[in-house]
Amino acid sequence: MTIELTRPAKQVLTVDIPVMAASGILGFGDHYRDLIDFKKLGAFVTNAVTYEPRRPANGRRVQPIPTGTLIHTGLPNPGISKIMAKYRQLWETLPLPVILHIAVTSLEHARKCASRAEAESAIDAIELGFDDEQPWQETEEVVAAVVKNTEKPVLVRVPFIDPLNHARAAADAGAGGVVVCAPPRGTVMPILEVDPTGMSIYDRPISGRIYGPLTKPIVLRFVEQVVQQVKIPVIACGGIHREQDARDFLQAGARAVQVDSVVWVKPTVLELIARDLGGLVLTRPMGALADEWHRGYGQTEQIAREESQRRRHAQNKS
Amino acid sequence: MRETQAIIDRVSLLNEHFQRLHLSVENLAGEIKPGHSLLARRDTREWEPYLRPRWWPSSINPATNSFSVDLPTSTTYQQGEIIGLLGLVGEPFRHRRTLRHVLLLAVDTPPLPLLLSIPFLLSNSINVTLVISGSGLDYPTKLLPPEVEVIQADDQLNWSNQVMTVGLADQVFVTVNPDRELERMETVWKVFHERRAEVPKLYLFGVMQSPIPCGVGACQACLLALKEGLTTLCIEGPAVDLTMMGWG
Repeated sequence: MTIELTRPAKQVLTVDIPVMAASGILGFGDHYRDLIDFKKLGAFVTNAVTYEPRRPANGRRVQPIPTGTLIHTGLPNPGISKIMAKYRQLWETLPLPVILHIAVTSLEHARKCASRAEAESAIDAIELGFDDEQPWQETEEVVAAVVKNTEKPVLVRVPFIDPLNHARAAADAGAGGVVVCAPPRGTVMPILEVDPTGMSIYDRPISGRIYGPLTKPIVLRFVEQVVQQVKIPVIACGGIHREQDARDFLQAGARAVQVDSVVWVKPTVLELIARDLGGLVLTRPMGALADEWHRGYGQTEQIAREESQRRRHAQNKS
Repeated sequence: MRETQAIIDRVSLLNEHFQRLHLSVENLAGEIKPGHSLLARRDTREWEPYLRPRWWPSSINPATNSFSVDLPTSTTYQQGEIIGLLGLVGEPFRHRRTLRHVLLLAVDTPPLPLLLSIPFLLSNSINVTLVISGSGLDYPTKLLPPEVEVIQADDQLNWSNQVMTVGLADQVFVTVNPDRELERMETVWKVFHERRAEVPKLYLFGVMQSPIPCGVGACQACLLALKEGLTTLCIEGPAVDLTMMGWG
């Protein structure tokens, strides 16, 4: 099954499996090689790359929130030249298309990054990531400049704010497809300590991107709107935590999905979703032990729990 | 890095603040070294807590494939419960070859990341002093081996015979409250800088325990800027030579 993730052009991004991890999740390299079988995924999206090096953000960068987390990394990277020098060889050997995520810091830098990527055979497509505060008119300008500088398929990850207008602007400017959307940004006041009277003393506020299952219903609505009004392929991204979440997005008209933070929490979920949407769900062979097949599908844990409860119950009785 | 499961064999209450979980795990206990941590997740479909909390083993027994971990009593665990583990996270502590005395410091935090190094050091006939302050005093230090000298520090990081303990130590491992971790580490650095004419390399290590989302170096949330370049705490940490921080 071949799925076209960008509109017809000289070069089209195609995948066999409509599942990949979002930018910022799997890193630049094969950090997850021991935990995730990359062959089961549709594509590899790199962490954000900029034209010039960027340092990590200062201060607290991870703040747990109810059923989610807020993260502010500052998109650290050594710049596109050093990234290519370090990872080119690895990306060439990966058994799946590589999508370079370019964080748009300025039109000129985005254009230069695209020109640099154009010369790299290890890169199959470009994904542009925009700042939340960027007006959609500027998105159109940047996408047009990037598309002019590369023949590689260009995806645009639209911001959480006003995704529909950004998606329209991207389509008008010649983007091959859109990713709906970047994680929302939020601000948290972390509790530093609780004084003896029970009063909470708060730390400096921390702002960053919010990850967790809570974003899925919002993004699902965005995807429905964009699919109806923008006539280029849509990749859904936001809050996917199980197979059904991914199916919901495909049902809403997305061609593929990008899975985000659940990969950090339960890495095998990415592969489970990929197997599910890739038509790889097979019946467990007769007689196989649950864990021989896959932990997620097994009942070993449940049996162990029941057994332990039974033992405790018996001990209490005696 | 690998994903595995452990089963809780026993839960023992250490005091009103801390409990000890005794866990069995296949083929992992023998690989755990001082400095390593594990990202733990209960076997549940719930998403709270979302990120995996970091567990620091307090003792290991490779012969029985078991280890124990000390945790706050704020979360209740049951015997027989299955815990999903991602690990091992980080690199072992870089102890010097010729060590006679190691100083462990837990500043306003329980000494959980330092606990596993205590049996390792004692078994190698190395003296251990643990200085503890603030909220770290909730940890039941009475349960530590009697060979460990435990000293209480005040909130300004003063303790009795400070000059002597700092002077005697061949290496120091410090952990601080993860809130404003770097600021607190810098304060510790200043204290040592004042107490010693020179803080040599591989002498004073900060053991970082901020939350880490992925544990494999992919998310880059734990990148730390050093004097020269960057370090990924979940790969090259948790111990950072504080002379590399460029604090002067």
